Order: sequence, then C-alpha cells, then structure tokens
Amino acid sequence: MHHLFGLSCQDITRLVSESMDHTLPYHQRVKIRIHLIMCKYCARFEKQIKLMRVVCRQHIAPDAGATLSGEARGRILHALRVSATER
Amino acid sequence: MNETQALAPADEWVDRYGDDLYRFALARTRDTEKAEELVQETFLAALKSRHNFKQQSSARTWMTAILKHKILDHLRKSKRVQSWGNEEALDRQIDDMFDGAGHWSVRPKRWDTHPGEHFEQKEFLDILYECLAGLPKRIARVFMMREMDGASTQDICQVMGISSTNCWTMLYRARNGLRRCLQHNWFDAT
Repeated sequence: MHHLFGLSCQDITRLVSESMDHTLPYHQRVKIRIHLIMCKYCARFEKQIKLMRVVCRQHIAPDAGATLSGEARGRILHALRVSATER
Repeated sequence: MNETQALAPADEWVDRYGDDLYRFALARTRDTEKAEELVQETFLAALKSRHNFKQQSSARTWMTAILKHKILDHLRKSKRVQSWGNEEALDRQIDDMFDGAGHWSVRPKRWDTHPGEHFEQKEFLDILYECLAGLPKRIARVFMMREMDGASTQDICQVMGISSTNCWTMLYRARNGLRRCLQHNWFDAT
C-alpha cells in the first residue's frame, strides 16, 4: 500500500502500538483509521496485538480446586521462618 | 479484589495466598512439584523485598507479579524456550518485516481465532508465556506490567527509570516480537 498522508505501514504499526499506551492527537488517529480501512495487513497487525492484550488481561482461574498439600504448606512455612530469622 | 491493606505477617502468607499462587503456578507449569517450589520461591523473594510493597496494590497482586517473574525464569531454563537475543535483535526483526520504503515485506498472516470454539485460550496463553520468556528480560518485564497488570506507562517509566518514548518503543518491540513468536509456534504449528 502506498504511503497515505506520508505514513508508511511501518509507521502505522508503530503508531497503532503507541495508541494502546496513550491517546494520540486527533489528526493522527484519523490518519491511522483511514490507513487501517485500506490496508488489510496493518489491520491484521492491529487485531493481533490487541488480541494479545485481551488474552493477557483475562483472569485465568484454572484448576480451581487445586490446593497446596499439607506437606508443602509445612515445608514452605518452615522455609519462610528460617529465612526470616536469617535476616 | 480491592483489598488495599498492609502486608500480613509472613507466618500468615501460606494460608492467605498459598493456594491462589499455587493454582496460578500450576496452570502455567502443569507440574505440582514445580508449582510448589515456585510458590516457596515467591514467598522468599517477597520476604526479601517486602519493603518494596506499596499499599496501593493488594498483597495478592504484588505476590502474583513476583510469581510471574519466577515462572518466566523457570521457562527460560527449559529447553523449549528459544532466546531471541537482545533488544537490537528485536528491532532488526521489525526492520526485516518492511522494505526500505516501509512497505510490508513479511505480511502478517491471518489468525484463525474463534473464541470458545477452536481457539483454546489456555494453550494460547501457555505459548504466549513461553514466547515472553524468550524476550529480553527488561522488555518482558515492561510488557507484563502493561498488558497483564494494566499498569500505566507513567508508572512503568518510574519503576524502570526510562522515558515514555523509551517505554512505547519497548512495548512496540515486545508486541511485535510476541506476535511473530505466536505466529510461528501457535498458528503455523497447529
């Protein structure tokens, strides 16, 4: 895709990433949106890095029933106590 | 989970946070012994750095953040994780994706994700953790603070002693690096 508004695809990927961390100026946001409508590869890039965020932020509650065994509890507590007295 | 509080005495940690941390570790390692070990390491690290604990976050969140780093350390030692070299290598990786004019030369492929159906999020997260472990440590740390813990760039800059611009660059490198890693190890592999 040709440079639109003087922004290359490489520029756009960088800006798309930055837009996830702070609010970009309005004129830049408009340029990015238009580029993304016209360029499916940059649009894919955006979709993919945003998907990673969604997955990362989801609370995973796996193995809900798993608990530390009594033995492990004792061992860990012991290690903590030893370490606390060493200081 | 809004439990702003002072840190409980270390003697109470196992009862208060042990099971939560254990479940988290077990989900990432699938290994009960390793998970127990990681919980213990997390508590010991927390004990050492308890003066760093800030009351605006909950103790559980704070300890989980420590645990995540322990998990990454563990993954780094395993054979499956491939290190990607330093930050410059990540930067070169970005440059290689584009031609001299900034057009795509390695185009992003389509990711077939059907939430709830073919898209196994847990497995995806496993690979993501492995990919994260392959990133330079500093970059992985910034990414986790931002994308997992939802910290603001401002807070990250303060903790890491870097500028905002620097932080955005690191996040850009991390996101793209992980994207490529996931493409390779998840989407191309399945």
